[in-house]
Amino acid sequence: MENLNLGRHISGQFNTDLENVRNKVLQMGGLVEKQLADALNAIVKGDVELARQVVSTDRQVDALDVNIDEDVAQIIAKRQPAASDLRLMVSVTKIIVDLERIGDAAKKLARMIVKGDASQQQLLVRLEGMGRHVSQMLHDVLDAFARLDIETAVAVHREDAKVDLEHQGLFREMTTYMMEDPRSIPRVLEVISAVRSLERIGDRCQNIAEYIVYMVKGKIVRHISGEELEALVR
Amino acid sequence: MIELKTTLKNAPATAVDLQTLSAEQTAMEVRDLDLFYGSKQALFGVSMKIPRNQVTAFIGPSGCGKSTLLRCFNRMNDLVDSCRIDGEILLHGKNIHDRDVEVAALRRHVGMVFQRPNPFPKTIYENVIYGLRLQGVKDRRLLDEAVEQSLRGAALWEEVKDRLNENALGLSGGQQQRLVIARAIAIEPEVLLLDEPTSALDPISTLTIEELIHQLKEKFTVAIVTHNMQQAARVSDNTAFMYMGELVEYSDTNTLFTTPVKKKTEDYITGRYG
Repeated sequence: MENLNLGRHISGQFNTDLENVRNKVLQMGGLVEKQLADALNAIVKGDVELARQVVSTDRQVDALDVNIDEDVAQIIAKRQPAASDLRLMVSVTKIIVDLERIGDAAKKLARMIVKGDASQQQLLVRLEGMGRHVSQMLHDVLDAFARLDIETAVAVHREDAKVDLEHQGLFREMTTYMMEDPRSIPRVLEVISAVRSLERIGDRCQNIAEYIVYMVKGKIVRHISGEELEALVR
Repeated sequence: MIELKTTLKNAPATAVDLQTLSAEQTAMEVRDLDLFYGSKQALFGVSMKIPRNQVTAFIGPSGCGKSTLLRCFNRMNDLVDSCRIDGEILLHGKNIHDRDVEVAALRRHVGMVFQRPNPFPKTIYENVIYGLRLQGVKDRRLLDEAVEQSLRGAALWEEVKDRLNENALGLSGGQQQRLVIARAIAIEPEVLLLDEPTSALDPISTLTIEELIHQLKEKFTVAIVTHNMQQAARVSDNTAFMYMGELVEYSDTNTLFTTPVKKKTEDYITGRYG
């Protein structure tokens, strides 16, 4: 079953349609990846202009999200895809939802730089490590999608546990700040919500990894533990 | 929680395990069937069980042997001189090729509908009761009843009830095909074989017949050969994919069309070069 060769359809147009959708997903993934990296750079450098760009890029991501959904609906209506083609279509409609939300999270971080003051920016810098970590997960999971590589997908899936630990660490750190200086509470609360967004990005990469496993293996692997997942794809 | 997981994982309730089907659940069984036309072998060691009161579809490219196999189920291949068959086809545990099996009796149990509607140039009424007349049924009341029931069963009654004595050839193609199905079910067979029943029909008539197939399985076991893969996906509970005379993959339709196991099946149903 692991013969997800997109080409070789008797209908050349069908090949082209599927290839287009896949390319658009990768394009959307690329945009979101850049959004997230730029948002982190904007935080580290306090670069308000870069942060503004991140916010405006979100419109392109949203447009692709809608556009891909339309393409998939058309392919289903006209081609009645089956088996691996069908699984690709089903996975794509789900993957783009997670990608779009990751884009929103990056936008949220960027907005904090646009609006926030210097003291808040200093707090946000503490998020860089975790941010780079989920950024790498996003990069890897897109790579796994492009190459239909379930080993990488499973590795990304595993990585999320570490992100959760970082999340807990940062949460504790932020709590300390609030205890030390109650006047910082409003500011720190906002930063905590940013930490939470980063943690959600890890979860979303995990979701995408699960869709890739479904696409390649035909097994729905949501709602099972990491060990079960690894046993299934082995 | 554990129960929830199993329902999420399992196939729908209609799916039966085709390997371990009990005698009671099995309408017909094929065992190691080889078929030759002269020196050319057309079927290679086909073994399968057709579950009772379900729709089983046969798909595959032209010349893969699916029609040949369907024709074996009521011995239509007897008419081909050069045809030789090894292996068994069981109905009620009895090999239908045994010497003491009468072909006419077999076909009362296993009826067939062909690609092109073939009503007789008689009235609609006479077409439906043709088989019963052959069996010597004369009681007018019984015949009237059979006509209404069969036509209702074939979803045609409402359209023709006021013109039962008109010539059947005046019906549209879709109506003629449903009439032929009515004729086939009038003798109450157990198994109904449909050989591309909609390939000569327009899309709306096709949908009517497909809807009819859904209803038919309550009373009959249906085996259908179709070139239209989406049709097989829509109407059947189980699907058999055949290629070059071999049964490549046979499983419940939902599995076969979403996660086929064999590469040949995958290539065929997704329209790739074999």
